[in-house]
Amino acid sequence: MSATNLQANWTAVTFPTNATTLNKIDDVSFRLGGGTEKYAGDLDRFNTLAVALMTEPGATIQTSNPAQVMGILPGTSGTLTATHSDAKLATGGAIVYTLSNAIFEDAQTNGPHGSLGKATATFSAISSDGVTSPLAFTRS
Amino acid sequence: MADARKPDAVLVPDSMRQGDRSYHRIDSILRVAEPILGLDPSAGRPGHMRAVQSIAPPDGGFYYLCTGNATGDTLLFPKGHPREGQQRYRWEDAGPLKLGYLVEEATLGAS
Repeated sequence: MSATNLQANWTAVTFPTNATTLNKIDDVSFRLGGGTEKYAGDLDRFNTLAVALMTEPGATIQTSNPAQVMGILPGTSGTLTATHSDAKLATGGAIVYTLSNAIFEDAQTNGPHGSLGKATATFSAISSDGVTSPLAFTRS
Repeated sequence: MADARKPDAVLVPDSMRQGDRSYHRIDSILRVAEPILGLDPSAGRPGHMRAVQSIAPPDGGFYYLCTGNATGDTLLFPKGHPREGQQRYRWEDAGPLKLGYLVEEATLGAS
């Protein structure tokens, strides 16, 4: 079966805490973390400069197994990986994300009445050398 | 003079990125780098790419640093290293690409 060129559902979502693969994954987001510093002064009413000075990649995971992320100590660092599978699970259609030097920042859990309990974990990341993005891509 | 060794890394310019799907865009970069690095995704040895954004690359462009490792393999020696801020690779031009050879003290797969 050839690849669909569409991705759906996440597998192999791992962060080194407890050396386990996170399960019951609802959603994973990786962000490039771009942003601009803006400037206005004197009589300006609009920004007259916007420059991208910093990039702060990161990730967010939503899971229906809150215990797995609520048990991680904020500040824990490691490599976060996740595979966005081919929509029909064809070989050669998945995208693999690797966030090096990922830092677990926070997790929030909730469960509205009549709904399944969820938790959302957020990660930032640092670059070892300051110029190489900690977010790497490949395909499988 | 060209190095007889196989490169340890390839810098592929962003201008070579092609395709209208995420998978194709990643593939368009890695399929350039993988044969040069001796990698074969069909054999379970894919390349990995990460953006390099700085005036630090050899000519200040926007490149993807491609190697066989998902982690480590930074462009420069890391913060805290005795050679912090210096190039981990010696770069050779190969058309639009730059071929990188680890310098002494640098280890493949490490920062």
